[in-house]
Amino acid sequence: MNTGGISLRIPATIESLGLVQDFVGEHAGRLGLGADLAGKLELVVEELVVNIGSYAYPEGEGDMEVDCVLSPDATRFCLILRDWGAAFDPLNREAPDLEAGLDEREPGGLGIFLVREMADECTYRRNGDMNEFRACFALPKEGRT
Amino acid sequence: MDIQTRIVDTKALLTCSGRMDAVTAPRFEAASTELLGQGHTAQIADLSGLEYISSAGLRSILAAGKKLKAAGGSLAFCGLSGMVDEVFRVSGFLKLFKVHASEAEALEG
Repeated sequence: MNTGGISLRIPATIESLGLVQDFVGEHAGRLGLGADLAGKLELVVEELVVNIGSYAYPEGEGDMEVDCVLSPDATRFCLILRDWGAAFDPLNREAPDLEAGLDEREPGGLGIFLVREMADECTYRRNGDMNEFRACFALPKEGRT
Repeated sequence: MDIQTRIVDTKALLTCSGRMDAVTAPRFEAASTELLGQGHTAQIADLSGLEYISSAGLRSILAAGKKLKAAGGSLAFCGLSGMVDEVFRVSGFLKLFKVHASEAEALEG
């Protein structure tokens, strides 16, 4: 399944965010992703790392693993995050009410909402004791900026 | 993220630059709350120097906006561009807050 991917395994805490950004950014940089896509990727990385820190290991500590995978035909770049915490499907979360006024607007749910908006495809699966979340981005055929 | 605050006539201006992420975002609400404590209920955040915002930033802005509204004040924005503008748009924040094209327009309006 892992076509030429490289991975990073580190503690699932907010302190790891900088390391994960550097890891993904370096990989994306080597692929020559444009600034627009790089910005979206950065946002998706932050939201997913924060999410794992909040939901996978609410009371303890654990690891997460980050993988960057390019599809064999080089049309898609996928970011994969794995953790071994509580089963949690972020895609089951209700979307925020974008029509609500300032008084009614609830602060939650925006992180995963932004991930779904920025990525072209998101999938979640529970594999044994592991959560695996995959966010894929379509790569432009040519004219990468 | 760096936040500079100054008072122009009856309005308080928060000029944010850098990155508003999960680590730095609480500073926005803190700066806004401090200004509110000094009686500045009309606030404008100039985000023209902001290059990145995540949901943590939106959360901080939402909390500040709710507090100001509850105090009879308001929070407006100017200088949205690039990914900050896109994140505001897809999150419905353009409907929640008044957004001005420039600082000069925000100070007038």
